[in-house]
Amino acid sequence: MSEPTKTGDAKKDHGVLYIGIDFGTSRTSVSATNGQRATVLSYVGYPKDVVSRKLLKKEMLFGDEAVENRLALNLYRPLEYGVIKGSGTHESKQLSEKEWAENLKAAKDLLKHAVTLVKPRADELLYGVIGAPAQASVKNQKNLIECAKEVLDSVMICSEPFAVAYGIDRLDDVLVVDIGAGTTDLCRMHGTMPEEGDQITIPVAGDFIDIAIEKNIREKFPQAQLTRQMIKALKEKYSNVLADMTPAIAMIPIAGKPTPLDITDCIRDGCREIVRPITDAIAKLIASFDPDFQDRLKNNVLLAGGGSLIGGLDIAIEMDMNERLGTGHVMRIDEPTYGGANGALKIAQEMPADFWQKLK
Amino acid sequence: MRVRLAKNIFDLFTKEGRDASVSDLKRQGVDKVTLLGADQLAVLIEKSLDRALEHRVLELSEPEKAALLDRAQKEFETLRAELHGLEGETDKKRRELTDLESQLSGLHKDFASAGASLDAEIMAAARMDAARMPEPDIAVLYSVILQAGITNTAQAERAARAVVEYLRRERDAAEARAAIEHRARVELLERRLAKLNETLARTEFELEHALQNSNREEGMASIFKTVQGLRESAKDFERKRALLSELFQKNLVLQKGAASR
Repeated sequence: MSEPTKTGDAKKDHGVLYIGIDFGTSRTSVSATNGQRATVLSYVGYPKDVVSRKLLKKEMLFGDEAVENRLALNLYRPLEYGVIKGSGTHESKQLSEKEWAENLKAAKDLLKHAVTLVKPRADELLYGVIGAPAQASVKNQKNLIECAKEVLDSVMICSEPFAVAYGIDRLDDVLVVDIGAGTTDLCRMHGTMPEEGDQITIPVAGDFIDIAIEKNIREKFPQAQLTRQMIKALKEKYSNVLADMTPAIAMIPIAGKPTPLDITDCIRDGCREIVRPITDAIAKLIASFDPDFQDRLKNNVLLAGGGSLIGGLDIAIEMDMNERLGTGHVMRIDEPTYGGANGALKIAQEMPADFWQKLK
Repeated sequence: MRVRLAKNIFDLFTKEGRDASVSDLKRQGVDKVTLLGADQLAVLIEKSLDRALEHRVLELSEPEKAALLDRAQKEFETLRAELHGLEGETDKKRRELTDLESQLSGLHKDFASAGASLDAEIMAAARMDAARMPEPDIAVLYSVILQAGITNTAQAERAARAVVEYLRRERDAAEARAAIEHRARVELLERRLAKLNETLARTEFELEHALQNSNREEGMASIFKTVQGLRESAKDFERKRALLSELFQKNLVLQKGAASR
């Protein structure tokens, strides 16, 4: 497999590979026009010393492999709230210059790895579109471009929910709710390019649910020994918001002994915590829309992103909308994990040639 | 190309063809059929295609033929240049591998030599311990002093003790100096070994990496050779064109000076 780098000697005259990238806080998904697509957990690890490097036989590890070997690694999760950590938005903490440089390197390496996963040829031009949170600042977007420029020959940034809508040809009277790990991005589409007032980003998403579930489990079972990784795994296995969800009985260590614990309520209550903030944001976007078209928007709410896989979330949001807004119809898109990447790929493919040239 | 075409036609017949029994045919009023095998049909179609192509070539004007020939030649040249480039790349990789292997072999030798030096130092230290200077015997010294004519036994004893003490101090100081020098040599060798060890590990890693690279897949080719763009037949063509144009304009503005943090 060829190294996806612009600095290679290969002459790029073979073809054009379009790449759609959903560079997410929790997962990075990539789709390409060679039929390849892949998703990787957004973790990067570098061996702590010579011994661990020799043992792992790699200079850097990604995704699940990095998480599994985290004790021997300096582990980075380079994105936070949908943007490169330390970009200084939301509750993102400020990093020192050194931390920032290390984190940026991790983000670049992760992006390079993600592109490698779709197996580009060295002699092909790589044109990519990256989805960013709906309200990512100019600084955030510039940081993403800086990362991408090292891997791609030409790159564009677009709003993640816009990419989702474009990907499924829903450009009119539709409200996209893209639930990621760091942020939930909402965007109303009304046939034109969404403007600032058409988009809302809230820091209530997968990571927020993890914290809520952890809090609930610790309150109910104070002796339970848990890590954030375990919480994530439990959420991915059992997440549901419905009253009649399948009981979640998990083996969790107590004083070193795996013990079966009923965490059904902890999971359900934790997952439910995102329903109200999302409905609030939906209500805000609907209320500021042309009253003649508000009902159309209410009846075309699309859920996308990994967070939309929570069991019954569409029903719960719909019920809350019915109660608060009088009506509502919520649907989940077909492939939530790849919705952003597929949409970005479609944008990349349909972008005229001279546009790509000008951005090189 | 020809074989593949014939095979595809043959496969199409066998896949799409209908089966009919003799009794079915009789029911349909057919009492005599001329058999023509699928392979024969495939050959006939192929011949007909060949004829059509030949005919098309004959219809071409001289400038068209020249242009066609020119395009084919250019394509051939491109492919040849591509092949040449790939061969050059392979040679380069091979040279890099050879360099790395020789570097690794040199490091192995250095490593072995540094290890041998350290072993020699340790052996020398062990020999030095074994050959440690014996404690001076005070009784012997005492008798030597008496023989030298000092008859006062108290003075002789004091002198003997003073000489013994002096010799002990000198011996201890010499041993301490030797130990410091020895320790310094061992530390130096250990540092050198550690450095060699690290270099060896790095070179081994690079070699492994280079070996992996030499066995790399070429990657999966895109289905597009050129930039596609929005097709005029696409749904919502005008609106999509406007959206894409706006998105591009925003990116153009954004990417002016995108390098700063």
